[in-house]
Amino acid sequence: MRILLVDDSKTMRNIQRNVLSQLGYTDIHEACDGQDALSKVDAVKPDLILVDWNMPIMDGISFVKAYRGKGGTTPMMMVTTEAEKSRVVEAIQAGVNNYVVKPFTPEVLSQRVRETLAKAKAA
Amino acid sequence: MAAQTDIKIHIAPDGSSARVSIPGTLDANYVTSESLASYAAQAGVQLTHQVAAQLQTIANSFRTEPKDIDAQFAIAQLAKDGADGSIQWQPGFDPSGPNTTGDVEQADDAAVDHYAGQQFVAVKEDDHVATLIQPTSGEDGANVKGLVIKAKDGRPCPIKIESTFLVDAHGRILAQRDGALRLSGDSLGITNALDVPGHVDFEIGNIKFDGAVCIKGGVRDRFEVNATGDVIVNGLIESATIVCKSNLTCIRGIAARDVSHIHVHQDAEIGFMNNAHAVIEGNLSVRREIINSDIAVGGTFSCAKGSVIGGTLRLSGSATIGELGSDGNRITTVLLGTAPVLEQHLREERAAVVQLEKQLRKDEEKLAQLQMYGQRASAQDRERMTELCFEVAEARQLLSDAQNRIETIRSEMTSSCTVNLTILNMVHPNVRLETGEVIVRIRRQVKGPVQFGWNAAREITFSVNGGTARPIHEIADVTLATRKRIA
Repeated sequence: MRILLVDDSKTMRNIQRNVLSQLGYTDIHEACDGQDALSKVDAVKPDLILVDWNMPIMDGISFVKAYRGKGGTTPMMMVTTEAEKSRVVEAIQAGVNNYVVKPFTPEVLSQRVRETLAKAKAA
Repeated sequence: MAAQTDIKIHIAPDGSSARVSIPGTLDANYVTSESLASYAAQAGVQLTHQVAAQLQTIANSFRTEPKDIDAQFAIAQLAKDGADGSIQWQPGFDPSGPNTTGDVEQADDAAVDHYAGQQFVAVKEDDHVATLIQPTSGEDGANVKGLVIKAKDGRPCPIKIESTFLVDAHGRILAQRDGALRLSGDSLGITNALDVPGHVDFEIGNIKFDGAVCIKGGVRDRFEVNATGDVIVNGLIESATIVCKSNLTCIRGIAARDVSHIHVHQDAEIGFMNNAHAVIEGNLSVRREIINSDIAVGGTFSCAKGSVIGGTLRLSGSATIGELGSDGNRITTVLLGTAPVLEQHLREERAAVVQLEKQLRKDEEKLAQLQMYGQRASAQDRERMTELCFEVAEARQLLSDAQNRIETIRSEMTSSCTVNLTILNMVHPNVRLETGEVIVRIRRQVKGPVQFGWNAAREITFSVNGGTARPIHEIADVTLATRKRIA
């Protein structure tokens, strides 16, 4: 199981990496913005992508649209401070499979990751 | 047009230049840029704009003031060879540079600490150590006849980059793991074993290395070796400091004029120890004598062919010693049934718990403050709250782990301490055996093999030559440790 973390904050990527490691996922790759993620996604071939919304160069929603636009099917979770309903709807419409609002606890993130993967497996 | 013999074109044998010579007696009307170009073309010179311009200048000059002329009008365009590929080191990583890492430190009083210099390059994962400069293509030139002068392309960098480094799209050479940079022959890699060809001294400097260290020579006074892997010292360890997270082997031994400080997290095998202050968390084997040393051993201790003279031995497991004390009745102390290493761990864990509790309180307070903003919290606050949630969870986990370790250590301290000391050859007077409860001072020489142990009532006994256990007061004065303390 390969997971791609897309967040401009190394601290946040470390936090997500720790949670995922505790869930038994160790094949984890990182990108620091949407453009970096787009350049890596074909080589990494992730089974799950966690993406932040607000990032420099290319933000998360642009990445989601670009990735889905070129036919990417990997499940994606938006992990962001953007809590407004309109933002959630926008993200879901762009192709995000699950949405986690910051602040979140390790338990919440674990739960959402499990949910997303279970849904992807069932689909 | 002038007679052919009047105007002459000379081309250098290698085609690098062409000259024209015009006699001053020639009728100026014959000397035009067209006539000169015609001569040049006949001689095989390629007529470029530059050549034509030069010929025009020469013709004008002659027509203005007729005189003998011998002038260069064409020059070859030389080929530019490409540059070879190379490695451009980042500051502090050039293995041929002085004091590569661990720069020589300047103390507050402006005195330079020459001990701190290191002559090897330690690298950490993701370090950008150098940039690989790609070779460049050559630029062909042309001689005056227009023939191509072939340029050489640059050759690739002769240094092969091993898989312990990654070269990214920008040519950055990035370390893929921690270790020491090794540039041997034409190969660049990272090794997790550091070979020191001679002594650890001013030439080498202190060593702090994430991996094994093999020192061909010794470790000189006041130098320090700190390694996470095994440490092998072929020479003497002087009044130096060795911190080894794995095993230490020093076949020759430790001979300190002052005191050497040794901390080994696993086992140690040492030739002899003189003026050593050592904590060996695992087993310790010493081949010859131990003199005036303070040694704590967490596992078993063996000095079967040697003597222990003076100093203090703190033992928690079984021990075998050739000779204990000396003919000169030197006071030699052995603390039995103690757990010096475990006690040290317990102290460290307790200190860690205090620190973690403090950090946890701080993080919880910060988190509570931010949570008060509720929906008004900014994006930055939300990011920080997420971080704090994880820091709190992590601190709680670490605290719980530390508390569990404290319980484990306490349990080990109770169960692992034994009194099982065998002296193979001789025990001398003035040897003191101490437990937490009593102090035993040997009165007379006892020939070995002598075995000291605990009976069911936790009283020290001795037996000679495999005989029955007898009360220790037959060969020693016994006082209660508490009484001594009161006194």
